[in-house]
Amino acid sequence: MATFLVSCNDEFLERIPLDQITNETFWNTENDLVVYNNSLYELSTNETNVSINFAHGSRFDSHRYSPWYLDEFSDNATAMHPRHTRYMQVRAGKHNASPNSQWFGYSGWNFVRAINVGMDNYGKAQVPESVRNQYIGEARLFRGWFYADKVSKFGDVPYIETELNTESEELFAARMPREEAMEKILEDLTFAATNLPENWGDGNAPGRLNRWAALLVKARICLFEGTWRKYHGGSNPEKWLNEAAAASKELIENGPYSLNITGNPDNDYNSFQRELYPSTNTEVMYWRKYVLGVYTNHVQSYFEYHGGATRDFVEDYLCTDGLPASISPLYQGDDSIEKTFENRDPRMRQTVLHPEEVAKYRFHRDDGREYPRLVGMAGGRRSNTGYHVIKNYNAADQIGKSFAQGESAAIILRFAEALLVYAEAQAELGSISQGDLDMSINKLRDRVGMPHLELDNIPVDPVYAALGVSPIIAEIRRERRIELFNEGYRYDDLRRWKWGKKLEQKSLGIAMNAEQKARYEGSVIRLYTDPENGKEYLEPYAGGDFENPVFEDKHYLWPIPLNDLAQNPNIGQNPGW
Amino acid sequence: MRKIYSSLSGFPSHLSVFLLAFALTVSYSFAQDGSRTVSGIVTDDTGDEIVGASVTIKGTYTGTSTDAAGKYSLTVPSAQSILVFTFVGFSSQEITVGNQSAIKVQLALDSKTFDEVVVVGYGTQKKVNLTGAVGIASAERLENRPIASAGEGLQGVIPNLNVNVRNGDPTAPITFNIRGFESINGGSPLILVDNVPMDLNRINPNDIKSVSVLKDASAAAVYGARAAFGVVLIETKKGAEGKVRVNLNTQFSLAKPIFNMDNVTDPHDYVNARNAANIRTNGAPSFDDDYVAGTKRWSDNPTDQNAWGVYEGDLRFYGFNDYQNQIMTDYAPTSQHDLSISGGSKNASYYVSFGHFQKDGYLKPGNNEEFTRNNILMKADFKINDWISLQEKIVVNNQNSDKPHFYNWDVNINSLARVNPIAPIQFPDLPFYQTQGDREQYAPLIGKYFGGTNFFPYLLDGGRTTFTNNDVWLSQGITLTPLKGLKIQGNFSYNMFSREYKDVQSKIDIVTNDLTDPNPITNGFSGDDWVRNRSDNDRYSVLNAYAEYTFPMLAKKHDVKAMVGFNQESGNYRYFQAQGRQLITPLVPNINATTGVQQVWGGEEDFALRGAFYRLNYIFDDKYLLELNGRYDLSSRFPTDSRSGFFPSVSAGWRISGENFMAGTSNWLDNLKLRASYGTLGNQIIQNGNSQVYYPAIPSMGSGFSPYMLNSGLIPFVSASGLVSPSLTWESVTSQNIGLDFTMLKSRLDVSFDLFTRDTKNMLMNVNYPDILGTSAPRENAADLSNKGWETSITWRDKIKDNWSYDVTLALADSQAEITKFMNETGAFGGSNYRVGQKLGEIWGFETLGIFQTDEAVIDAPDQSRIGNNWRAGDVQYADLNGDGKIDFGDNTVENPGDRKIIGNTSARYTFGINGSLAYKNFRVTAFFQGIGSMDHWPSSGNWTWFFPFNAGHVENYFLTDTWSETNSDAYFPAPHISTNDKKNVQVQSRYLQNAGYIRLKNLMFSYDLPTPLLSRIGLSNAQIYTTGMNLWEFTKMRKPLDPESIQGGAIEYPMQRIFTLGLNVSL
Repeated sequence: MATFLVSCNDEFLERIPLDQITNETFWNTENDLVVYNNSLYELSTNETNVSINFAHGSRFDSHRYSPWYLDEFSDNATAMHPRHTRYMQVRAGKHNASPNSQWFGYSGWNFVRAINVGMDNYGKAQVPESVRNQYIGEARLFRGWFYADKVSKFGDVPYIETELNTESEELFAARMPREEAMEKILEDLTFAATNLPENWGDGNAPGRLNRWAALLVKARICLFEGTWRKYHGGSNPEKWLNEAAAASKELIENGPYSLNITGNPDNDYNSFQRELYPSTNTEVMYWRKYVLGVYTNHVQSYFEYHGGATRDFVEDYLCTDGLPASISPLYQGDDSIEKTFENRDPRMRQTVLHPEEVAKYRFHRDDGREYPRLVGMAGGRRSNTGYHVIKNYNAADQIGKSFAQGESAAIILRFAEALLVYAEAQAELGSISQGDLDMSINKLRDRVGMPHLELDNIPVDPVYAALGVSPIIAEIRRERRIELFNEGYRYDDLRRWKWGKKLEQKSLGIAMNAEQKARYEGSVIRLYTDPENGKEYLEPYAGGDFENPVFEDKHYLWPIPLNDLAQNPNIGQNPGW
Repeated sequence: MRKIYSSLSGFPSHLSVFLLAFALTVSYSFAQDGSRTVSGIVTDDTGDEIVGASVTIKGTYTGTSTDAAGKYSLTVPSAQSILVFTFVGFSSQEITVGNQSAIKVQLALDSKTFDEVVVVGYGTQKKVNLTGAVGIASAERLENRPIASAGEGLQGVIPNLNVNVRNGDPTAPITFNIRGFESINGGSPLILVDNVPMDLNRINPNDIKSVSVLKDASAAAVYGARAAFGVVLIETKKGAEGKVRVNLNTQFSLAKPIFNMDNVTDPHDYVNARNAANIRTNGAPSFDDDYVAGTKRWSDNPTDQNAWGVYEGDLRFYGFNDYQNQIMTDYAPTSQHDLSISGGSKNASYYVSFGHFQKDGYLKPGNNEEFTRNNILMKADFKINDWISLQEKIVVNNQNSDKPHFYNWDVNINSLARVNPIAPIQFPDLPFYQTQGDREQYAPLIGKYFGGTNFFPYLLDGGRTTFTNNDVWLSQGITLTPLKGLKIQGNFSYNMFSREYKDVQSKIDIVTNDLTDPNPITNGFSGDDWVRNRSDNDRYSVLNAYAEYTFPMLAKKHDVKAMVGFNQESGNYRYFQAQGRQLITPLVPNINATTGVQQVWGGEEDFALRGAFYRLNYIFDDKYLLELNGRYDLSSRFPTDSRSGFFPSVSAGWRISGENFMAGTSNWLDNLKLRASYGTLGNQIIQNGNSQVYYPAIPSMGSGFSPYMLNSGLIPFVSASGLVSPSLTWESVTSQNIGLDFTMLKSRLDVSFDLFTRDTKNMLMNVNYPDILGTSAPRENAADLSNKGWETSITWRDKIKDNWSYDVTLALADSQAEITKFMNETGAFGGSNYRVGQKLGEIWGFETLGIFQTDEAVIDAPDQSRIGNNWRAGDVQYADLNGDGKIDFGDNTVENPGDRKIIGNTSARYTFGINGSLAYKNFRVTAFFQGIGSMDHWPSSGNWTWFFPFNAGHVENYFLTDTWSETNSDAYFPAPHISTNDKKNVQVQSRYLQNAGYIRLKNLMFSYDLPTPLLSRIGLSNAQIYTTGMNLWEFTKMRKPLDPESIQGGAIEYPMQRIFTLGLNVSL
């Protein structure tokens, strides 16, 4: 009987998948490479796993994953909603090594594998080398970008550059030292910045990542590494700063992008950041598109989970004379929010809601209420600092729209960053010239009508002097903070500059004197008395679990999740955790 | 001379009723002329007189019983009277009185018990000759109950047939399990209806004649690779030679949800309670002073005027909305009608049945859930000649479901836990809103529904999810009996299953309570509206061919029977799905009437299985039983080189009661048998979640469309293939069974006991590699587990005195599985990790010391900052089990679990069912209890689940009375805090672990059979009226609002229901 059946082991029992293709039959044409690389874009929509190419998540996930929230990790902004506890926790240094990977943490390895599977197979396609290299470049850009993010958060990383199987030794290996990994990352980025097309011919809608995008990503990552090595110790920071300067300069000088300038300094800074489809904007290099029925978010509504900008951030705006608030005679103090705005960099009004501009921005859905509104007050959108963030606010994406009908774009790469990277790299290298400033910082200042930064006349802000950095570096860092506020850079910047001490200070909101208390009747936020000036300020985190922030050296890196350690103890925990 | 005592009365062999009889006056009598007295003695076949034998006049309640000498005396009305002599354990006898005045009767031992035939794999077997572990249930367990599926009716009936009813939803799948944990890949018993694999939930429970559960390898061996975890054999009813028999059963039920929420009804109490919790957690109250004052006003004086107010442009409701009572129905109707017609002649017989079942959901407002099931079963047997007969069968099952579209858990039954009772439902009609005279401005909004977690608008207008399942089985069988002792059977069945599914998310209007909003109306969660259709078309065919030969008597005392067979199955599953967005109008929910993005999906899978099997039975002297089984199988799911498997088994039995040395026991011991079996089976089913994996050894690339827009619209993508193991093969399952059956006291007591081990070897496991592998590890045959347990079934039946009889059956079972091999060298927790020595179902958690009574106690206690921040009086104190001065997760490995230990186990232990019935004359009461002796349950602490206080939006009375405060320091729960945000107090821990053991009265039935003489006068053979109650009562130690039978999902699901039924059963 058995023999009979074995002989019947025929096609009746040979069944192969009917609706899927196999690796053997794929990888032939350029279109195969295109659709394969599309899967990398698809994987990058998972913000928490693949925390690069970062947008607003979709639908419900917009409440936690958006570049607009990332500053809540830092001294720029506060979190308000309990769903943002993770942001509050990290900002206060109260996070722990948890069993599983946390948001934007030690995860996303499926993305690396997808890239590496591609790397192992792109060679099979019958296409010209230059064409092939475009797709390899795309994959390597993703890989370098991804690993740089992991190095930034975890230091040493499990660097993998080929498809693993269950026999692979890499599975149980120690992590690769960060400097070694960064060399690999640099190779990837350099390859991408060399081989990606300058233009895929697919418009900026938003199309595929191109060579210019690769240059900006490379510049950003090299700046991170250069400054990290400079301030935390590490070999040859200059090499990285030079790479950052070179990449950004190449983009600035030869790229097709420019700042969004229409001659309207009161709008040019934020107008394009509030567009739903910035495909024709000259400054937007890469963005994520949302369209009803295809992919939508709810980020405009969920943005009220964000508490607002901090006093510390607002104080960093220069006065219109180009001097810091600490020394400028134009500074009017902060006794009322209106006073705080007087004579300040026009970007302030384009970033934080001025009470007079509620109607202009149709702030909160044009509800006609007076703002700011503080936690505890009834109705409307509330803040726990008083500084409502307006920079990306788009009432039209909210008025009359229901749950998850939002189409607010996420700008992922914009040209202004290249200017800031270039200036900072040059300054850190000690080789910055007035020409460098004029082609970078001063372009940003021109847009908003602020005085130029003059190399021979750098103001000395006592606030920054106390932090022990040179005036030029201080001003470039200030410029970066102001320009890139709410775009998710600040927490990484503080870490690479080794400015953890900034996070030991409480985040505060607007000043509250008797008059203001009457103005914000019903608010329930507790107050903190600034020992330096004796004035009271809103203290958003008072009374909660994160009232007293801490920052120790260990906090510069995140802890490895316990489960990953349990799977492979060789990877080791980061120091101090 | 021995005396034989007492009697077991046979209760009516079928339970049927005719309501009409109640309308008629019951009056009947026989002519009194010709009456006479008859007397005599009743003995058994050995001449022993029988004490208490029943003697009745047929068709009446007149009768007597025999005295201590076995004698009786009775006056009968006429010579035509028929006397009926009955006694437990004996065949009854009927004698026409005629001219006799003394009638001596000898009753023969009832051989029914010994002749009882049980359906086994590809054949039948006398129950006394069984050597494997087989559990049996008859039709009575399933008839006349308001159950949506046969599975529901089998709960608790057969020991260690575990039936998992997820909740009260008739469309929710019911899962079966035999003897506990199967494999880490899941697995479930093979369910065969008349030898064909079929979804039991698609069979009309009233068409089922018998159910056999094959539990061990020996009993299931002929099913080889599909039967690793047991087999449930269902046999449907069929026609018999004789007159046409028509049976009509109709019943009507009302179902009331079992819902244990006990909400605070005073909005002021509600507001204060939430404020206290929110202040503790987030430093700020949830509701401002205006709400506090407003709800106080309403609470003191609940007038319409006090119910509404406007504050800073917000329209506010200060009253109380009893969402629970407004959403949940008090009684939802269910009805069931079954008609069967059967009969036959010498050469043909038939059985035809039609069934209709209809059940409404638990929702009160319009647009409730609706479920209907229609069944047709047609069977016919034709005898072509002396040795050829044909069997035809058609099974049609049609199911229809229509329910509100599921948006999310915000607007569903779960919103009963999410919604706060001061959330308004509809825009009110007020004299004015913000200022005098503004009513006109807001008048268009009046009556519109508010959004948020308000379920009403979505329920009423948000679209529907509907499906129609059509399942058709066509079966042709042939039976050949060319020579004596040889029976050859073949059948081919073809199944067409189609499912038409349609889901519509339809736009509704939601009004905001913000009176300043320039656009007060939006579409809430329905903003992105769409319609989606999915068609499933499944084809499945089964060919069985087998021959059984009973050897002519080789020598006295030797009985030999052999069976060989062949089985082949193949299936093909396809689906096609299309979606269109943006309906032109909600009135036409059709893909054709959409203007937005359209998308299509499709898929197809297939598989095949082929096997050959044999069985050899040898019985010596009716005492020594031996059975050999085996099957050779080939499965398409595995690579060519590893697709075959041979699964043999052996079992033996010894009827000890037949031995000569037991002769002395024969007056009280009817049967005593010892059984043992050993065998191996295979498992070819590989599951990924709930779906099967048909090509586990072939790596294939994913493909689809991504919403990542490069230009506009979705982009196509092809993704990397996963890892597969090329050497994949069967899991094997070795089972050993020892069983003991005995029947004693003239069949009054019937006991069966089985002890078993079931070792699942070479389980396909996802070896847990470090995550940087970047994909699920390929499944490898690399893990083992061992499952040990026992089960028993005990029946006692007796007659108390004349006309009173009762019986009780207890089914009790237990099992526990343990991992005996697993690759997890570091003992890591997390993921799908197991480890050697792990008992399945283990719950690891902290040990709770209690609740911190003072802040000082927190400072003095070990540091808990690694699992939460800001510990204060009123928070939970965990034990520092490893004494390192801090509470943490350690390395999250078994070697270093931090301060966690095993605090419980989720395995259901000591599952039981108790069936009892009591009959008096034509009245009968049956009761069925079912439950679990012991089981641990960790209540979900996930957001928006309802167990932990302030973990969802509602406030129940126990939140107020049983949360900690300085004045309530003995409270069970910690101080009020918003546990959706702060999980530190709801870490898995001993204090809040629930004992999910329970007992529930699943069914209570009262029936009355109308008297036969009356029926025969109006041409009926049987009529019964009955009333039943389902899920009437329960006892559990689990805290409310949890229901021990529906704890599988954390969120609130379709509740279990108490169902009250009135029914009528009539036979012609």
